[in-house]
Amino acid sequence: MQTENRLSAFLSWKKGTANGTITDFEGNYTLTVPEGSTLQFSYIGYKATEMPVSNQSSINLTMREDSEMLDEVVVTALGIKRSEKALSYNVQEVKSDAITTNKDVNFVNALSGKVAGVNINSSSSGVGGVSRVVMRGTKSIMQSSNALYVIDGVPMFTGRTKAGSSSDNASQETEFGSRGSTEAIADINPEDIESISVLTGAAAAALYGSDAANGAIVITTKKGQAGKLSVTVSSNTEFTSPFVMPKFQNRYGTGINGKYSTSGEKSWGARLTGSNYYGYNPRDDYFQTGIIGTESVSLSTGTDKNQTYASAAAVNSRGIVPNNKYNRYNFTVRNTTSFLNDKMKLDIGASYILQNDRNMINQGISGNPLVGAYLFPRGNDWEDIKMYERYDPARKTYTQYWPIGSASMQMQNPYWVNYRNLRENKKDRYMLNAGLSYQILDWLSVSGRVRLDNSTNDYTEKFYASTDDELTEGSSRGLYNIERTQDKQLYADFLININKTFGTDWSLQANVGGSFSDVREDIIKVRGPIADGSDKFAGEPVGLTNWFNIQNLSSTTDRTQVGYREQTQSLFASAEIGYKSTYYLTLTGRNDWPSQLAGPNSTSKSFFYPSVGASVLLSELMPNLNKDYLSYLKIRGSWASVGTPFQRYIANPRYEWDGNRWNVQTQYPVYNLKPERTESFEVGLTMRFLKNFNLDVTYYNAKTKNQTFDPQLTASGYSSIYIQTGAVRNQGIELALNYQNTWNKFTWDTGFTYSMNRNKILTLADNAVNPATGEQFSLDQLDMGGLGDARFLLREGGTMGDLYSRIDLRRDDNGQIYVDQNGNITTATIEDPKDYIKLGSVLPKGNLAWRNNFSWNNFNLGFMISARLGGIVFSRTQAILDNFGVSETTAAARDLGYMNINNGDRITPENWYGTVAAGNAVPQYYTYSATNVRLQEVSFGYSSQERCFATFATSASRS
Amino acid sequence: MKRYILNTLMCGILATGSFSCTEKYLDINSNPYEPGSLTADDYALGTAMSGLASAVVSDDVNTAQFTDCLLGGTCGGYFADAKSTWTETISNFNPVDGWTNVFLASDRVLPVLYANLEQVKIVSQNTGDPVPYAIALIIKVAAMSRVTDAYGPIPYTQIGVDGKITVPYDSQEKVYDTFFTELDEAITTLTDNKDAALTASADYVYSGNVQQWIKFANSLKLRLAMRISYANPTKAKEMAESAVTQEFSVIESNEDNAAWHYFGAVTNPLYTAVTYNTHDSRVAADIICYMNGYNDNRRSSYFKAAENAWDSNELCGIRRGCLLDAVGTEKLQRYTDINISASDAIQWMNAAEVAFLRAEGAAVFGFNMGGTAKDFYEQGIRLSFEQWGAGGADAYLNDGTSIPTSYTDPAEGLYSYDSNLSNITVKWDEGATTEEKQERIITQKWIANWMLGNEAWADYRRTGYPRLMPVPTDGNKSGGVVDSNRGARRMPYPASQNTDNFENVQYARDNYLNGPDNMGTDVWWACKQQN
Repeated sequence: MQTENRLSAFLSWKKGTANGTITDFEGNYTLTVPEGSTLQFSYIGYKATEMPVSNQSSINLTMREDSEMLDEVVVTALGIKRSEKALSYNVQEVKSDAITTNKDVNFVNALSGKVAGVNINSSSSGVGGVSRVVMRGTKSIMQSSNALYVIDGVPMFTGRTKAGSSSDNASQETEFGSRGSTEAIADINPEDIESISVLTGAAAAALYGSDAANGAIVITTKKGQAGKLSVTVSSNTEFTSPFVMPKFQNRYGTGINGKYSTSGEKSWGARLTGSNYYGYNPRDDYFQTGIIGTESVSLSTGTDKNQTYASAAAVNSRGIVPNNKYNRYNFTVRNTTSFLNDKMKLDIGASYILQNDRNMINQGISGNPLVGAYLFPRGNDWEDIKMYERYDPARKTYTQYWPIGSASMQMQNPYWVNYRNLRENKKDRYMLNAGLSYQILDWLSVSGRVRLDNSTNDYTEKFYASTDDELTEGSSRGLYNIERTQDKQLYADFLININKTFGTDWSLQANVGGSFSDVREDIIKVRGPIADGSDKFAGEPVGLTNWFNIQNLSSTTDRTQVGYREQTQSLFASAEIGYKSTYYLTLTGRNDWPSQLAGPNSTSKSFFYPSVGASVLLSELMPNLNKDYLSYLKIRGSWASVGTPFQRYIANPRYEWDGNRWNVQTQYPVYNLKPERTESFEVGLTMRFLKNFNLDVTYYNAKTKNQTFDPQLTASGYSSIYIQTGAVRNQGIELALNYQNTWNKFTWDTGFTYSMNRNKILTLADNAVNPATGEQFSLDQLDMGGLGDARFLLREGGTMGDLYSRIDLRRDDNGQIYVDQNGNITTATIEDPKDYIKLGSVLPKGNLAWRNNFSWNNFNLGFMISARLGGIVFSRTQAILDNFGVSETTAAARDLGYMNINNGDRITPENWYGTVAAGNAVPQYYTYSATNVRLQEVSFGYSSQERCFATFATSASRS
Repeated sequence: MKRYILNTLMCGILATGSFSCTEKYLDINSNPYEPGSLTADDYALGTAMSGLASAVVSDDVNTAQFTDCLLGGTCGGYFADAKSTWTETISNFNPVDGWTNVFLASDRVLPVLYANLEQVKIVSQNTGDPVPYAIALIIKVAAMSRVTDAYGPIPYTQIGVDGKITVPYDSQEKVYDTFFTELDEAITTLTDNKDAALTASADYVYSGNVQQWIKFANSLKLRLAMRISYANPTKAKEMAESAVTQEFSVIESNEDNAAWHYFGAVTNPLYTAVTYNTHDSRVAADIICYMNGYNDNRRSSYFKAAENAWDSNELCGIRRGCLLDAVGTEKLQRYTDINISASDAIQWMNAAEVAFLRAEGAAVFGFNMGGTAKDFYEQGIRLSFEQWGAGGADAYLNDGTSIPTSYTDPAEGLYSYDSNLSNITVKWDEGATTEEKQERIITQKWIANWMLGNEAWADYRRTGYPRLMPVPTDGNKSGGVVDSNRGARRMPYPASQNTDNFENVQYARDNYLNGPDNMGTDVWWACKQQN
């Protein structure tokens, strides 16, 4: 492709000499050379061009981008760069613009819709919150299906938590806790990212062995560039506001049964009149406009021998909920030096991150200000509670003002929650990395890398005096929690690289290496109430009100220390054999020795993970191909057998703390712990046609077996027993179609992605063996928990996302809803699981996105539309809003005066919603289609580029 | 640090070459914050005994609140729910599964019980000392009798050592037979070792005193015998008489009361359950009507006026089963509070109850209880007054005229109950009918068993006494399943049993349960002929 821009270029007037000049900003140059010399023009990223000089007075030339270098090298696992045509699996690359044009503080969210096969769910925690990234479907029953993040070849392990548990308690965490949080990957400054390779399939990630099953997001960060000093300053301000909200009502006031009242938590009172109408609306009266300000500066400079990149960025944001903030400061320095005639390269880097946030809120009830903001009774005056604290002369301090009540949900004044129930994080994180490579022969090199990633996070909770006493553990003087988490990760590897051609037809690219990773986390938590002299704290001195430190806490304070450590040592190798640049065969293998296997009776020490793949460039086999119609056609196929990370400690269980004492039973130790193994294959096609089109299609099929879970088996003397059985299959299609064309100064760049995944549980436990008793057993169903009476039930033949209702309205013999003589309806538990009502699967059937960029001169316009097809959601929120009478649906029903059931029976809206929306809610009445189409991104910009060029004192030479 | 990095790096490179560095893996894969052994200073036995005790009334707030406040407390007529937003409650007969499944499905009850039972068994086997396991068996029966009384048929004899309930059910009769066998086994073993003692720190009930454990076991046996007095009178008589004639007999003084003295640094869970959160539970109208009527001096120990009481001189409870949202938060906070301290022990069984059991056995069923019904009845009242530090027991005993008051709801009379609750007086009347004697005994037993809600609920279902207020008409949301006058008769099986153990639970429904699996069906021992 030609470039119209005039660029500065190095010139040297005789090959091999150091004499030369560089052009000015316009590309003009002046040079006096002897006749007969050869001028060499060079510029980074462009093909060097030579031009013999006769006695012309001017030489003009147009340089071409070095497309081979830019287009065809792809960063794969372990940071190994490979030729795109040799790849036997789907790798999708995302350039930095794609994530910096419409920035998200957690850049992962900006990938949404830009790659096929990836499902990104951002959390409700707001700016910087944790995102769930699942590639090619949910694979594991108990383990996380979240993708692996890799930075410059080095995996970054985020806290691995169980994805679910069959016990009721675990599932209720989703309902009651509301602590939002950020994650390690969200600390990355998007400006530091050069490019991202998304390895959706197991084969692509196979070199990560026991971490590869969920795919990987491989991030390459920026390095200094030789030849120029460039400084990029960017400033970005975003405004956020609630977009789609529940529909609220404000015409029926406080009370129940249609009666006027000024007290109570519900809004089932009388219709309001002009004189007592307040018109409260959470969107306008409670939410605020969120602001995210991002300032960043980066500097790149260097010579051919030594390049430096440095950046600093600050993100300051306030959320849409009052007093929610997220701030992050990133500092990064990276230096790349070449020694020994460029044979040795040293790459060192350091990053320091300071991050703090306040009041990140997830879903859940406890401590969530939205409970009060949404349910605020409509016959009350919001202005009255805006002054959320009032001076209490008796206590000589401010106390909460909230005349409404707790609604059994610890509902408080939302502003009190915002300003007086502070939940804050402060994180210090530094990362140091060094890489050394040495080119021993032109076909042989060795490299080694070390990366250290340490962070300390202090999470504190400060609940001020007069906070709901269930939250303060009974104290009227406040509660304090400090939780200090230290994370340490050390990773090192070495790699021997062979890159050799044999004759004209054969090529070999091979890597052999080993790696070491050590991850540890230690948490110290002290959480307790401030003694207030009440009976609960009898026998101990009172503490000072609203003074938040450990020595001020009661003796009933919880003191907890938890943590873990994991280490993995690995050996791996890969080989890519090419024939005539047309046929490629790739083999990889990795052997992992993970510490999680170690136990007093363990029988296994390590596992091997192989992959094999092949690709053929059909376009090379068609010599008479008209390149205007079809320029490139590749077919590929691959197979891999990889793992999901092992659960730690189940091979060596110890005695757990149950809150008040050490539990006397441990889990049954798993003697023969196996990896949850995903065996997958994929086939695909890459095609460039009609000059401007680019198509990539992949079909994949992945089966994950040895699912590790606790099926509640009998095990003598042990609290629980894990078994490894069962298999889940995911198969689907990933498709990406891109088109780019330029007409004069106008460019249109568009891309369409589509992915579909079908998830199926092949077996749960089919004649599996109870390791403790040796008995065989089978399971046809596993309850994975859920919310109230909406349960995730895993059944053979079903999907991992199947949601069932185990409750219904009581019905008569004709299947009609039973209405008693008082006009009441009641719920009934469904006894036979075969009769449970299937609500649907929460998994999407397909995702598609259509991205467009138009540019004309320096103006550009972009937008992206994305759609999710299929799947359901169950909304307890809507049920609670209905139960409290603040939803528009309940107001509309009251306007009408009755609800129609059984094709003609009428019951009152109070009776209806008082049954279907109360308690756990009857899920089938609160299940909705999750299909949606959204305008995900719009951008409009004008870019002006001011370039600064440094003049080098010594001229550079190129040979 | 540098050295560490260097070392680990070297180790990493070496390891991948020679595999020599995985030796430390067992250390790495040992949770640094969890012990690998609990044997020092008999910690394992102590913690196992505490774990066992927690299966009776859990030290976990949520568990104890469901079992003893929201279920036992309300059904027994002691407590009333007091949260205006609770619209689906046991008292309204429309609870969600999470409220009713706790006894059977909570991981804080059966799994804890059985896990610790197994540990104690291992300790007993290893040390050749049968005492700890015998005590553990008594606690097992104390805990499991509460479970079967709530549901009727339960999985019991086939539960493995892990406490998993995905096994076949037993009829309630079989469960009770097993209880007696287990108690007899424990009593025999402990009597054989009557001079032995357990480490005091391992026993927060009797500080290791074996003879007190025997008295408790006999008393528990007597309680369970009286429970089946209508269902199997022969067995009841045999068990009741053998309990009182056993060498150490039953609990006769308050010093021998069975209670879990575990609280102080750990807060009594019932305290937390009834005091947090602007008080989820308050005193029920029923017991205050009785005690006000009798001018009972124990009231100041049982109750305390709300901060914002309707009338600071007047105790006033909440009508159980009222529509809480109709009353509203503000008013609910004005009803009388439960008086409990954060460091109070959790009561399992007291001497007064035992005296009343003997009184009923003698007066109603003609069992040989080793004394007269009158003596036991009066002894029960005196013991209870003594236990609660109340004076005036003699005057109380001789009051032959006072009867319970009717109920006037201070909330604009919304849930008043104008009828006479009962005409029963305190003073013993030897010439009264058997039925009246039973009512008198059970009524006083109910007052003495304050806060032992599940026990009171069982007596109410078995005998029909004390006479409690019916659930108000608008508060019965069972759709006709539960009779407002008789109250909840049992709890439905946990929904998780359908998912995890369907064949077995269905078999129990079809073969052991005398009606549909809902709150309106009577359990096996609740079979007294309606008068």
